[in-house]
Amino acid sequence: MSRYSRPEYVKVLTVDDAIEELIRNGEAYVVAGGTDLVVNMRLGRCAPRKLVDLSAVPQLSVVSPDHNSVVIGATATMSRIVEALSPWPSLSALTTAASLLGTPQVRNLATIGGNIGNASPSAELVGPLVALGASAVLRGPKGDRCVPIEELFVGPGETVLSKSEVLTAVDVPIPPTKTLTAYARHRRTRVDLATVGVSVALGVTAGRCQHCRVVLTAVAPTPLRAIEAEGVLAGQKLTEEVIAQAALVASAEARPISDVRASADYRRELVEIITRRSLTSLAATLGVN
Amino acid sequence: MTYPIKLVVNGRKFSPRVEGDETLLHLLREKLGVKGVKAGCESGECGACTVLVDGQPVNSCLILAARCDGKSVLTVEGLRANPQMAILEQAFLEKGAVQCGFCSPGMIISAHSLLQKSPHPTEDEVREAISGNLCRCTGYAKIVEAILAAARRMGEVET
Repeated sequence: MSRYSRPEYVKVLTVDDAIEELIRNGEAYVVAGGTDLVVNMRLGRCAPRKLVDLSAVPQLSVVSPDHNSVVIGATATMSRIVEALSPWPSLSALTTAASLLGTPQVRNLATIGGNIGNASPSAELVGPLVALGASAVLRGPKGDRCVPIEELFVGPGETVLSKSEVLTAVDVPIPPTKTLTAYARHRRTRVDLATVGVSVALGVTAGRCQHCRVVLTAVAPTPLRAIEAEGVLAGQKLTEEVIAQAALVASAEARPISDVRASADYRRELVEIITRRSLTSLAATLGVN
Repeated sequence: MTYPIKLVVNGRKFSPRVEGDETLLHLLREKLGVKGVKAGCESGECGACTVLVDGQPVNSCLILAARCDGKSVLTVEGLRANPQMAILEQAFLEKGAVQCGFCSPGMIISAHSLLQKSPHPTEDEVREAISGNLCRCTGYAKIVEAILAAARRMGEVET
């Protein structure tokens, strides 16, 4: 016999049908790409009673860019996001992260909703989404609510989603002109998880940093905005010294643990190096250093 | 509880019943007898189970069989009658791109998918296309050479 009673399966065609299923069965899981859930089931890390497959809900896979924002449906795959959003250089942090996640095969399955909903500290898309000021659209029995990605995570594997809510879309504001974003991370091999991720958004007016966000991932239980590092940059000319100081401060703000991928000290060191390099390269592209 | 689905595998129609958590890999190997698809890590890391679902390379160990209702699946067996396959196969043999052979079916599917989309790939594009297929024998150099050689030969056949 199998290791646990095998789950029921239902393929829904609307989000409301999915919510109905979640209300009816408290141990139901939504699934789309399956790249994490299917492995976790096989390893016995979770045993859903029912799988509610969102992959056939037509509106959920749509990526619709407009002048002010891009709405990315929860089941849009990494491949789809890269293809649809590559023409927007200001969204580079997001498309870079999507193109670095997993392998080509995984990128054809893995969805933005899954990457966010799993709440993994090393999730590739989450740092860029926080840097871009994106929000998640959650639908539940009482309707939609919009939660900034920054406020979505409670701890590793934990979000503010209730049992009967479904993440339906991510709303990403398109940054103003003269703002660029970047995502860089360190990992051992091409398919490994990130040991440290750094996402940066940098906007410049009259040679001075007018808008900036520095977001660190895989160095704390949830994505971490390096607020003090942002403070070092705000209003300043992006000289080598200012950038070096911001990177040093960001590294002190990180709260990494030691695990199988890297020691805490090494992670802190990586934060400094990657932050410095990311800021330097964005400042160079903006033509301000 | 099992669920009836319909799918096309390598041009043939099948109507199996699948479990809710059954993977396409399990369905192909254990129920449909399609053994060219290899079960390796079963975690989406090694790529030995790579197949095309509606033309896209995916890990069959990660996709639920039930989700594949109405879809079309291509495995290495489905390339048997494909003239490009003969060229790819020949190039793999000539360059010594096969040692133990366990990764080859997935590697061939990834290579085939690349050459469909990009008939004249650069070496970087080839390396990217097979970055989700692990090979523990060859060190990849011979595989990359073979795919590039096959692309050149396919170009010659066209002209």
